[in-house]
Parts: sequence; structure tokens; C-alpha cells
Amino acid sequence: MKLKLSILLTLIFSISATAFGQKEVVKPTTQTKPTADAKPADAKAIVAKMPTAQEILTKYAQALGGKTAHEKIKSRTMKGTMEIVPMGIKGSFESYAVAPNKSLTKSTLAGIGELVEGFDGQTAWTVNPLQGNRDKQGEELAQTKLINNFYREVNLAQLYPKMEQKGTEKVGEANAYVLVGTPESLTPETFYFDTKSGLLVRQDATFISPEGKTPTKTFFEDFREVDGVKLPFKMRTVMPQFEIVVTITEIKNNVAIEDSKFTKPKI
Amino acid sequence: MLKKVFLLHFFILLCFLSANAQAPVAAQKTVTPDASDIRQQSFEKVWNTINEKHFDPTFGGVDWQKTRENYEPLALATKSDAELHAILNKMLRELKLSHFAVFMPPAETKTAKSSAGVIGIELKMLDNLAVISQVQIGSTAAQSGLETGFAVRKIGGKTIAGLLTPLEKSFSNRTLPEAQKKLYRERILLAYINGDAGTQAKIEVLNGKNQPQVFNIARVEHKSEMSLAVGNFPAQEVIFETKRLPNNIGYIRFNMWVMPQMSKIREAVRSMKDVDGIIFDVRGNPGGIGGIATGVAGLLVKEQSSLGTMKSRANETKFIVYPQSGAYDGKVVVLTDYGSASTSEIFAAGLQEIGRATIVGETTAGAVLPSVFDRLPTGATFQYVIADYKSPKSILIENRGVIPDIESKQTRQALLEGRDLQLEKAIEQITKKN
Repeated sequence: MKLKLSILLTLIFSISATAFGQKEVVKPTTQTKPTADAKPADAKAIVAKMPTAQEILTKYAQALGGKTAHEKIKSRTMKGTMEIVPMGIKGSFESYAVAPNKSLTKSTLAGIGELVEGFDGQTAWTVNPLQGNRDKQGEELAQTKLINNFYREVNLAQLYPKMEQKGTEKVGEANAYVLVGTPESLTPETFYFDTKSGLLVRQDATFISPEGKTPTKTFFEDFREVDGVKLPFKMRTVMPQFEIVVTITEIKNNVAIEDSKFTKPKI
Repeated sequence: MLKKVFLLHFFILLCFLSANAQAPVAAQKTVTPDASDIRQQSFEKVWNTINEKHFDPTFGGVDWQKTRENYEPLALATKSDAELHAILNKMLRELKLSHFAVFMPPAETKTAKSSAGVIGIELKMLDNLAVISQVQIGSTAAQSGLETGFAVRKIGGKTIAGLLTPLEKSFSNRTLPEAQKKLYRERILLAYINGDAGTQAKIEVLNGKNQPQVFNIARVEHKSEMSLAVGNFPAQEVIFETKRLPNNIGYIRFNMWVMPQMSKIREAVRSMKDVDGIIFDVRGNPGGIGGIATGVAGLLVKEQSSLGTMKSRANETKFIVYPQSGAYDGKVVVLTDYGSASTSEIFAAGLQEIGRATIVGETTAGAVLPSVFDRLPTGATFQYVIADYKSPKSILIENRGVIPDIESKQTRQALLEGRDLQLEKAIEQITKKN
């Protein structure tokens, strides 16, 4: 069982260099052309061995511990911290998830208060000190369902029926295979898998809400094994105006969680 | 499961929209051997941030590269952080937009020039006079005999005109709406009136008989409720007032859009289900957290709507209003003046254009660009714009303001008589038959 990276992963691409600063922007490449940043020898080797999308996803699932190990985990709790850059806002969170798709996350931000979001398998709801409470609808609800799939990371091929291989890119120092996946009824997302470890190191997506569509890039770091599955303990999501850094401090698997935890509160 | 998506959604609402008229500060940091490097890094950070993130890639016609060439030598020649910050502010003013500023955070300015000591008055610029518009009950100003309608002539022995001269000079090369100029004048004069707790303010006024009168008033430590800092957005004073006016009208006034106000406003609105109308008084309210405007609007609408849109280089974000259970459906009036800025303007413009409120009072400041607060290597706070703002009908409010449906100006004579003409007009709007 593994962390629902999906929550961080869901967001899509199309980031402009001018908006985010040039350092992290990568040049598109094709299956037959290595990235400009890659060392020639490495690049040739990568091209020669270019795996299919399915092979990349299979390697990813294996790198995370394998499907069997994931499916032994039926529930998970997590705790951690977060920081919003450049605003300097700090906070903490705790989250609860039960297979196949129930979840609840409470975030507490200094100076703001507690934000709660839940999904009971049918209804996705939020309560926050600014907007009060509301239910998600339409595309936003569809995206919530997608990212709340407890076994999402080992079922990407099923959840993203169209998954195309787009060559390689550099993510930091690593070479990465690039896949563009399109889930049903939602916009495509771009996945970057480390060519050596097989792990997902970056995902570009679009965060959908009634407020609009926000392009995001999420970077995954500090993978650690917990109960046989690997999870990233640090995630950095870059948006046009902000950057959110999340650090996980505690993960517990197969913890008993009351079903009522995920029910929308009456306010 | 880690709900990062939820956080993304929330942070969109956290664009800080406070007015850009910061109190004047005179903080000096001790020069260290690498201070010049730190100043250079600070210059780079400011210039690069604008270059990479400014919502308008044309910079409003300003040649930003040329701006660097002009200002970098000046910045590198500075001998103190304060000098650098002045240069940076001058450079930012080239963009001719609100919500750009470099200033020392409050904790670090306290020892230089503090606003922690107050006498308990508010000012309004009326017909070129600095007129006392409010005297807090029990304040040292009230105890000394200051009254609303008195016009301040001198502070500390210096004339108002003299105190405002540097500001007026700075206006000469800036294109600012008159509302914003009034706001700056008001802020500067209040900064001179207030000061370190334990000191005295010597103030000469024209009293109710138009006779000069001098008051020596103790500045006392400020003891009002404060909000918590939200990251680099400093803690703010929290002033909230709610009451029922005659004719069964609800009245809500608050000084800033900061978190502690949200629960107070929610409770007040929900206690007013039976009133014939609610007046939201945002006169003098310079803004705060943008998402609170949508939160308050959610207490007043039955259907999901939008208070407008902010557009950055990369995307557009709507100020969506989510209707809350038991939303108030009676008449709503938003009372504005030239001091209503930023989030107050989004609230007023949005409710006006979706037909939910009548705006009464004066044209607002026209300082309404969503911004965030960062830190510079010098330790200064760097406020910069991340997007523009357009009302629901796609009207740019920056440098224009929200034009009231019913214009009403405050007068000195009315204040001397203890009247509030704008509030009277707001009441009239609610009590009149449709």
C-alpha cells in the first residue's frame, strides 16, 4: 500500500517559462531525441532502451513495492507539516484514508485556522474558515474521485486510459521518462519517471476548481519504505503564484478508522 | 490521503489585498561587512520577481530592462538598507500600480518609529482639511475634549501643509487617483499624530467655533485585539462593530479583512435574519485577505456567483462565492469612501455588479491588485502584485475605483453636528419603498 501521491499528482502541465522561471522548465523531446541536457552517452543508452508506457508504469509499481504489497494495506493515516512560499505561511496536517476511496484531511495553518476536506466515496466536501462549507461538483468532483483512489499509483494504466510515451526529460539531475496520461473526462497530466529508480519524480497537472484551472508542477523527493511500499516524504508543488512544500512526519498503515470520519459535517 | 489539492484551492483565496499605503518608517539596520552583498541580492530579488511574475508581460509599457539599468547603480551605491528600500520603492512606482512596496515589518520598526501609542481618533480629508471623523469613546483624545468635525491644523507645531510637502512632491511624478492621494495624506498625518506610547501629541485644531485650539494629548499603548500574522502578512488591529439601528436595520463595520473578522461577521449576519436591511460599512477599510470577501458574500447570496476575476500571466482565478445555509436575503448596502481599498473594493464591486447590494458613499481608492508578501535578504517585507482584478462585468477597478450607485459626501459641518450623512443616505436606501 502506498501513499496517495495522486493527491499531489493530479495536476497538469502547460507551464510557461516566463511564469515560473526558466530553471525548472524543460524542453520537449521525442522518443528518438535525447534532451539537450543529457550526456550524449547516457542519452544514446536511454533512446536505445526506450521502454513502452506500460513498461514504465510496471517498473514504477515495482519500485513502489509492487501491487500485492499495496493491496495488503487497507487504510492509512499521515501527519506532516507544510509551508507556502513566498508567503511564509506554515502549518500542519493530518489525513485519513480507507480503501477504496474514502479520505479526510485536516490542515491547520498559522493565523488562518483549520481547513477540512472529505470524500465519503460519493460526496466530496470542504469546510474552511473563509468560505464555510460546500460540496464539489462536476469536473472538480471527478478529479477528487480520481485522486482519492487508494491504489491509484499501481493502477495508473487503468485510471488513465490514454497513456502516451513522450521521450525523456531532465528533472533536476535525473533523466526521466515522460508519459502523458489522460483520465476519463479530465485534462491530461504529465508524469516524469526516473529512468534509474523507476520512481515518479515529477507530475504536471491542472488543479480544477470553480475558481478556475491552475497549472501545477509537483516534485517528489525523499522516498522511504513503510510496510513494504515506498512513499515520498517530501513534495513540492509549484504554481504560478505560490509554491507549497509538504513534509510527511508520520505514516501509519492499516489503522482502524471509523467510517463516520468521512461523513460531511452538519453546519 | 494527503489533500494537497485542497490546499491549492484554499491558497488561491489567500491573495493578500491590503492597501499599499504603509506607515512611514525610518528603520536603519546596522551595516555589516557583507551588507552591500545583501543589498545587491535584495535588488536582484525585487527586479527578478517583477520580471518573472508581473501579471502584465508588457509591464504597462514600462521598459523593465531599462528600469534595471537606471536603478541598479543607484541601489548598489546605497549605504544603508533604508536607502536601498527607498530606491526599490521608487523603482516599483515606475509601474504606476498599487500594492507594490518594500517596508520593514512592524516588529523591526517599533524601535524606530512606532505606531503602538495612539490618541484614539480617525481622520478624513474633507475639502482639503484633515477633519476628525471619529473619536473613540474613553480615549485620551475624548478625555482631552477633541470632537468630530474639528479640523487639524498643526501636529507637533508643524503645519499640515508642511508635513505633507514631501508626499505632495512624490505625487508630482505619479499618476494617482485623487482618492488614493487622500488616503496617503490621511495615513501620513495619522502616523504623525500617533507615535510611541508614553509621549504626547501636540495638536492644533479649528474647533467647532472655527477658533484655533491647542491640545496636548497622551499617546497610550494600543490595547485592541490583534489578528495573528499570516506568514509574512503582519498582525493587524481588529476593530469590529455591529448594532441594530432604528428602523430595524443591521449595521456591521470592520477595519480590515483579517481572519478574526470572519467569525464575527458570520455571527452578526446570522443574528440579523429579521432586519429590513444590512449596512456593511467599509469606509476606511484598506483590505486584507481576499478570500474573506467571498466568504462574507456567501452569507448574502442564494446561488453561486463571482465577485470578479484575477488574471496572472499563467492563469485566471475567479472570486467564487459559495452560498451558505440560511443566507440573508434582505436589502444590503455597502458604505464606501476613498479609504475603501483592495478587498473592500472587490466586495463592493462584486456585490454591486451581481445586483446584490447598493453602494452608497464615495468612489473607492482604486487600489485593488491581488498581492503577496515576501521577504528580502535585508529583512524587509516585499509586497508585490501577482494578478490584475476585473469586476464581474470585466471592469478594471485599479486606478478607477468602485463608483457608488448613490453618491454621498461627508461634510465637516455634519461631523460637527454629530451627523453621518453617508450613513443617513444608506439608511434612507433601505427604508425607502421599492
